Amino acid sequence: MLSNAATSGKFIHTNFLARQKVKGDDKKDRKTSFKMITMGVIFMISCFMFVSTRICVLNTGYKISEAVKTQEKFLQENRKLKIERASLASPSRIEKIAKNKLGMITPKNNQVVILKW
Amino acid sequence: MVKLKNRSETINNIRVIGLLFIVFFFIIGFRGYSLQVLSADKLSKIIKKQTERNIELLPKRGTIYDRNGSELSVSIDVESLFARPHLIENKGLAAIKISRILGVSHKTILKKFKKNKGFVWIKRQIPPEDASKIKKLGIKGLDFTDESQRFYPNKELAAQMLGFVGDDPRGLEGIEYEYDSVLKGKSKFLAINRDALGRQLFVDGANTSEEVQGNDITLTIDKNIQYIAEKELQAAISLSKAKNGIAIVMEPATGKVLAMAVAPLFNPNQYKKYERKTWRNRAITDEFEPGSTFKTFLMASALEENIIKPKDIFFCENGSYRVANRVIHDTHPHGWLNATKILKYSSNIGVSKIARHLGSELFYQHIRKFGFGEETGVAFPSEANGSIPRPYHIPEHTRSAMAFGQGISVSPLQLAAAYSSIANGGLYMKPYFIEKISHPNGMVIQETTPQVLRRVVSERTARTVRNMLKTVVSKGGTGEKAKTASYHVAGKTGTSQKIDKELNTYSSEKLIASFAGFAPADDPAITVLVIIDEPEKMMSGGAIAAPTFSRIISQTLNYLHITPDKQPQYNYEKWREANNTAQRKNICG
Repeated sequence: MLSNAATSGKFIHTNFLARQKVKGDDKKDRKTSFKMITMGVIFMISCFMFVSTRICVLNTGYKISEAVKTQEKFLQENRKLKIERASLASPSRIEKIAKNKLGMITPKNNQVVILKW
Repeated sequence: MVKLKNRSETINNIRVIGLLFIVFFFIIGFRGYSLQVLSADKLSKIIKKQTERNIELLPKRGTIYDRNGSELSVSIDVESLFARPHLIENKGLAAIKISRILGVSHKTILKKFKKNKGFVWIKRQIPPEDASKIKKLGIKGLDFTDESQRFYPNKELAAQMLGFVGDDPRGLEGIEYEYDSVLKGKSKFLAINRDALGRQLFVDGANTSEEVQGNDITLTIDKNIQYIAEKELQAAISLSKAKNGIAIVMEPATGKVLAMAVAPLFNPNQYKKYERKTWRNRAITDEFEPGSTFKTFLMASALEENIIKPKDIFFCENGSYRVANRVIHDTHPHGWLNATKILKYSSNIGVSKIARHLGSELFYQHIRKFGFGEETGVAFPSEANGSIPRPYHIPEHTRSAMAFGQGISVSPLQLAAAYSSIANGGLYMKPYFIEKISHPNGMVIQETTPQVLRRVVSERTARTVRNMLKTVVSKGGTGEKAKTASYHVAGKTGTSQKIDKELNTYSSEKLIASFAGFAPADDPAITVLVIIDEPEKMMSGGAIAAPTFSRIISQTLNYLHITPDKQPQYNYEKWREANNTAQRKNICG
């Protein structure tokens, strides 16, 4: 019985040591797992961040592309207006309008008075 | 016990998974290395093919401006239609639909559709309304691209000077041809990145439109003076039923060409509709016998060499004078005339005698100094040299004829530049019409400044000649019709016979009427040359060219705000203080 007890005590002792050892290992493992999970999470977050920045760059690229198109459209419109202005400012056209529509004439010499100051 | 076992199993599992991860990352790493390093070149070529598209950007030609910054020649964007034949489903029907809009035979279009090519031009530079009609049809396999087309907003204005460009676009005439390399810019290939869906992606630095555009050119030409010159020249041509005409307006102090009109005009927007000969800028490329307008230079040379004085008299042989085996005639017979009157009445006999006094070699040297017989260097295609034979190469009667502008040939620009040197006090200014060349961003690349090439006569001689030329437009002078109501002018008429090619002699019917001069006579602001070729009516320089000169001078000086030196000037202060119109009328006489 004693021996049993002793055996049992030994066992208990051994078990206790084992339990103590397991407890220590468990802590270590938990720490390792925690580290790995944390690293995994950080890795995942970095991946997400990387992907999201790439998507952001891509979307900004599309927006810039659209803006460039709009700019080009406006520049083209501006050029068209300049050309229209140049056509409308043609001396022959202005003279025709002045003479035919507005009834203007080229002043004769006796109609011009020169003033000096 | 079981719990313990489970735990160690879990730990082992985690280790295995961790190991798997490591292996997996190694595989990914290796794959990455293999893709990025080992097969980089091969793969980048494949990806480039799939995602990048190289488009050749046709360079946009620079703009040509007048001296006030008004556009004379611009590039506009138009659309060009192309096809990818393999994508077109019903080629026959598509060809019929397109042909109706473009006004091209459907067989021609169908032929293009049937070509075994990935890309075929259908029609380039089509009108915007036609482009929108085609777009509405929504035919798969047809697409548009922007191309540049040259447009001249002032139509005929300065057409021969500007020239025009072909479909390439490449300059074919005038400044467009001469300055093609400056205006056209450089072709660039633009790499456009596309995503998996074929959408265009922005590429940093892809917007290269400013870099490919050609440089701009600013001319010394003034749009309004050019219009005045062209309008008056056209009027003179229709009045005299002449073949063609030339008018040049120059600034004598600088050599700037303010206007260069050549009639008949043509519209460079539709140059193919006009005859080839109308495209040429005759003011630079052609040469003609200057006739009596050349007498001015004989007088200047003789005065410079102190051979004559304005009041020295010469016997003009009553209108007929034999030199060697030829007889020289005057239009009106004259007896004794002084040098000034020889110029005023334009006596051929008088100038022949002065030329003999001067000596042909000395005369030759002087006229070469005036720039005759060599290019002016204005950088224009096919500039004429003119022809001034050396005296010892020609017979005596031809040497005499040179004094009144026969037996030689000059270009209109040479003549205008030589008159400018009399007007500005004896300096030969290099004529030019390119004010500056600038980058599209406004940076000036090249600027022309007035250049004195040489002194041709002294200031005193130039002033004397100017005074002598004033008498030409006075009462009784050959150029009386050149005078204006507001400005004193000076100049010389010219009526030269043209060579009849069939008879190989001077024609009595084919003439060139001209007038060259400047105003205001005492302080010239502009030099004007008018040439009327083969007038059927009013067949003399004094009858047709002189009044045209007068109208160009008065309108141009008025436009340039040059104060008239002939009309009375009234006190502005008194005029302003006057209370009513009646008082103001009193002040102004």
